[in-house]
Amino acid sequence: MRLSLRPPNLLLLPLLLVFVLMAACGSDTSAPAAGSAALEGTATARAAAAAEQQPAAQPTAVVAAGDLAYTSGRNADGTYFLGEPDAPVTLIDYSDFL
Amino acid sequence: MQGAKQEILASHVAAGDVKIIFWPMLDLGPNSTNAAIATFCAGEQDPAAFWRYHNTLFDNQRSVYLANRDYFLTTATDLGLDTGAFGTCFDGDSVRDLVETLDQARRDNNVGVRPTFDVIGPSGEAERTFGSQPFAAFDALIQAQLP
Repeated sequence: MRLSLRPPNLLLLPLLLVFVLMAACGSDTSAPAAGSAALEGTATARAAAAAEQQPAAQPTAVVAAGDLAYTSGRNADGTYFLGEPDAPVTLIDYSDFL
Repeated sequence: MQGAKQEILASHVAAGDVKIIFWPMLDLGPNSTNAAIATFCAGEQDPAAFWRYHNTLFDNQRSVYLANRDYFLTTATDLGLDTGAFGTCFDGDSVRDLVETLDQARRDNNVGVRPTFDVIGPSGEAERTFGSQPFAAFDALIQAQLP
């Protein structure tokens, strides 16, 4: 008996492809597997490391306008003051910028 | 002090009772020093620019931690400073030597906690406090020192 091989229906193939793609893109409400969580953590760590190598963010805040309303000047030791130079009380703020 | 600063400014500085001095501590790596150098270089152009630069860095501390040279120069440009003069200052030794000298002076004065505050009255005696404090705490120290 000879077997005849019919060519597939070409109209059905695109429809089948669409159905396959729709199934693959459907939402997955199940909990992620532990392995995928580990991969996500690794990706997050890589992203953090990459971010550290990027140029620092540009400043987004300009000085509060209030400070500019006060007198400022420089002391003999090279430090700077804000307020009246002959104010009776001096408040020294020892701080690191970081 | 950043949180209480605006109240101190609006009350005691505005009244002429208090002047504030910022004294750099260089404890946390190269960018502690670079940030101090940058701020003092801003002051070289204008004392008011020192405070504008100081406030900008404190408002953007996370960026300062990761900052490179361009960050400090861009900050200077954004604040309207002469970038060329700023860059020369930033790269030079004069201001670096100054901030390192100031840093050593505070160590010699037993200042180790970040931040530390000295409230100094007309007699020259200082009342020292540590860490972020509410305005009421500063107010009490200041009132005690006023003549």
